[in-house]
Amino acid sequence: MTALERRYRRLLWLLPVDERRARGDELVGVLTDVDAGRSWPSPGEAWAVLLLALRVRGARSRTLLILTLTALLVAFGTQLAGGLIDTYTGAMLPADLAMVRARLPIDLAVALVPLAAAVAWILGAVRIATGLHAVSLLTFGIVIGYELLRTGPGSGLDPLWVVQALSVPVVILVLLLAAWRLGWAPPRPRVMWLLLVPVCVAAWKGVGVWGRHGVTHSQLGSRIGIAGTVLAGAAIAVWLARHHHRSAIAWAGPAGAVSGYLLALVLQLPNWFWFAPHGGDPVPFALTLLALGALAHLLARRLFGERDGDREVRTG
Amino acid sequence: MLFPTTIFSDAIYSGGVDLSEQAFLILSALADRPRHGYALITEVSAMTDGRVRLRAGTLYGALDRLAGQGLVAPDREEVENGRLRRYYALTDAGAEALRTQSERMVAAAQQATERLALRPHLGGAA
Repeated sequence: MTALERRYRRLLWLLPVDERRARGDELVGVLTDVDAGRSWPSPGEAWAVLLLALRVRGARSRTLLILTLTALLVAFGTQLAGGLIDTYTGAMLPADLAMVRARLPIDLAVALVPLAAAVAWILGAVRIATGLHAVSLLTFGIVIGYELLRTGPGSGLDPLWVVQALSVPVVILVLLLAAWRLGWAPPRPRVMWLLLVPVCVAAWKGVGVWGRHGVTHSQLGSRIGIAGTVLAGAAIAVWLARHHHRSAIAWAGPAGAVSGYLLALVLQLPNWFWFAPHGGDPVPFALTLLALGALAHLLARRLFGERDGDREVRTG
Repeated sequence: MLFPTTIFSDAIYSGGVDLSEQAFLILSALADRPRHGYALITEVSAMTDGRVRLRAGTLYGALDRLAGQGLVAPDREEVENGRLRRYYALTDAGAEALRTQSERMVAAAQQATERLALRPHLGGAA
């Protein structure tokens, strides 16, 4: 075995195991022919192998990506609406409320655009959802940009906060564009996701209330929540193990552990979302929705069978 | 369209198959006989006078998509100089897609040539 072949074989570890077994020898043969006379892989060929591995792995993780997109979109899209309701239902003193009431139409429009994007995606209107979300992201970017210009360097927003605040809507936009381009369908059951929208608006209003006016939750609720999460996680793991979905277990394990941990934090520390290190971060909320959506997806597939859009792409 | 497309994808899309230039060239290289991966790369390069040089990873990504669309299929395997060669062949559906695309491109090229001839400084009528 030449040094070039050995190096290419190492590079092919980027591919999934079955793909590597089915195609490894063939690919190595082509790659060593293309790079004949070299001892190291050429950058262009190595880059193309990396992209191939990403494409193959991405195609196999489609369901997870769709669920992640939906969870992020619902968590992000309901945040401003929940916050707006909270503003007018206790977050501000009546005297201070008069100051913000004048800009209610603008606040309402800004809150409804991301909400409409989430609903559009759930209903399958991918282009409309992408357009609305792009408008929302643009508005968000303009507001942050204006704030940065207004306060000037050194005294304004924390750059880390800016990156983190923009990362979620940017990731959502990338996933929406992928959905548009690759023809992804929204997850089932749609009714559940549609019902989750008002629930999430109410939840965002609720986390605004936590920690204010002495509102707290009981330890009993925390313990019930933790026990419920552990039992649900164990049930999912057993079901997956029985059906030999090893890759799903690999994803479900960390996702379940993180969502269980976050749920426990939410229940034990009622103001977790609000006083999180980067306050108002929709990611913990989205992780909880992801765990719920994954469970609902598995149940729907079991009860109603697999539809075309659920089928993972297999290559080779 | 948010993503850039070529004449190939736009032209073929209405026919039910979305072919990129890359896919068109791969199908063309397979039109006369089955070929293995390395032969496809060299053939595409020769067909385009070196303008298009497929990377191996890119080629296999495209072959996956074309196989998924039923336009190509694995033909046979051989071992040459200790290397596994898998040959790919054009299917009937692939040949039909290639024919449709070729006819449209010829028609489009004809239109372009006729219109260019109308430009005064190229010798056409005013």
